[in-house]
Amino acid sequence: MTTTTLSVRLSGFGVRYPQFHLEPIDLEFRAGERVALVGANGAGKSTTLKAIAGRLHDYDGRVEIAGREVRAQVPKIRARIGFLPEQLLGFKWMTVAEHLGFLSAFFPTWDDDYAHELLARVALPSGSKLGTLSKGMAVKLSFVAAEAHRPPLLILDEPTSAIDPLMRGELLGVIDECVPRGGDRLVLFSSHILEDVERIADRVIMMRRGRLLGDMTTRELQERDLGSPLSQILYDALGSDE
Amino acid sequence: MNKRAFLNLLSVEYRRYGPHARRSIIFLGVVFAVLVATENATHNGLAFLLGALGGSLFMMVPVTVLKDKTSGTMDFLVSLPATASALVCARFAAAILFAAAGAVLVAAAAGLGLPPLLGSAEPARVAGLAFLVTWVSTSALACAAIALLIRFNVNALVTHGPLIVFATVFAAVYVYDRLFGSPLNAIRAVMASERAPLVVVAISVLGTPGSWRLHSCWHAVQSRTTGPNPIPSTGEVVDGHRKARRRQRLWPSL
Repeated sequence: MTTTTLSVRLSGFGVRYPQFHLEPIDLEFRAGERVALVGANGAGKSTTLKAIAGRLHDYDGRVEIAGREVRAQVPKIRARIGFLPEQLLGFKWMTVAEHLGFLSAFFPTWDDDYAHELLARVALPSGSKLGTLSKGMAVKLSFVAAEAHRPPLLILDEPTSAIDPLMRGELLGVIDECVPRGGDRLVLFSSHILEDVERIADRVIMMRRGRLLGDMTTRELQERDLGSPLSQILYDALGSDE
Repeated sequence: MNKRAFLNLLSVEYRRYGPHARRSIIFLGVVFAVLVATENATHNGLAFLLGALGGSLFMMVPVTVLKDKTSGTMDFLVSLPATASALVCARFAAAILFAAAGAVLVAAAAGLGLPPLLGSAEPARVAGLAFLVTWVSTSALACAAIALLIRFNVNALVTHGPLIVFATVFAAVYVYDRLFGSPLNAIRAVMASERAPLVVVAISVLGTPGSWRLHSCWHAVQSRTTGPNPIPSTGEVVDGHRKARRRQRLWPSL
């Protein structure tokens, strides 16, 4: 997978669990895009992102990165993907610095200087133990871990769902700075906070209860409903047939 | 996966095994030192202790898997860009490192003047069988201890599990010795018989489900004492109970 040819394609992707079905969907993402998957809890956002990140193997259809099925490239493909999970994963007895040091060996493109720069930018003390971090700090650490190797594909699963508005703004600002619009990297993130989508995304995938409702650029959405803020348009679209 | 990543995994496993391994090694070192001091040390005695040490440390491999599952670190480990074989390899390598370090320390405690242990075939066989016996007996005894814990809700067993298992093993050996003579002689007799390979295979086969049974019991106990996932670590469970008892003393009506 190279940054210039990066593309992610979902063909007939769906899952069938006893209590959750995601109907087959077809989507394609390209380098330079910042794509938001929006929808309420249970829409299928995290399931989709996990499959793209190589953390979900039990699905129908195909998920391809640079033309190759993700399942066939695990675990190698994970070294080229930055993934921020919903919950911080790691050993609670490790310090922040130890956690990043542990991870650094697994990612060939890991940049220690950049990792320290990111830590400073999000004001995260490197000596704190993982078990003592607040939810907001844990999200910041997950972001640093996901971004420190400058992956061509950055996946953020609900990065702002459980943190206070101040930290949210701070984190979104850092994401915005680290992955500029129109670059050679692809950002996929999920959220049910529509203001975050408005700030970060340039394309929106709308999902509800395991179904794909729509796939539009933010410009298309705004042109469709002139004068309204994007968050209001999304709110109306997601709640239209409730 | 590169060498540095494997060493990182190994280092993490080594740090996680540390407390249990240190306790086991010190305990067995002290036991053998006492045997030497009382002039009861034999090659087979040393072999038995080394095998028991290895068995008890290898018990930590599946127990660590269980801990990973309950604490959520399993998700972390399997999400790394590393093969499952590398993860398993690092875990067993850490257990072997501790067992080797323990063997050296116990042998040192036993006295450097003893002839090389592996110079004779018989002690090696005794060590092998002791390894398997410990593995099975720690599984079985821990299951029994956990059953008692469930019956009487004795939460102290959760924190002192390894100590209780060791104490029970040595009490059992002592009682056997008093009733039927040296257990080492019994092991030697079994190993000298034609049925020795069958016994070893049977113990191995029985030991595996025994170990997994232990894990499911442990999981059940932790679920029972702390509620559904996420299940906190043992220390957190006990802290939670201490806090609950303190609260109960202060506000009995609650």
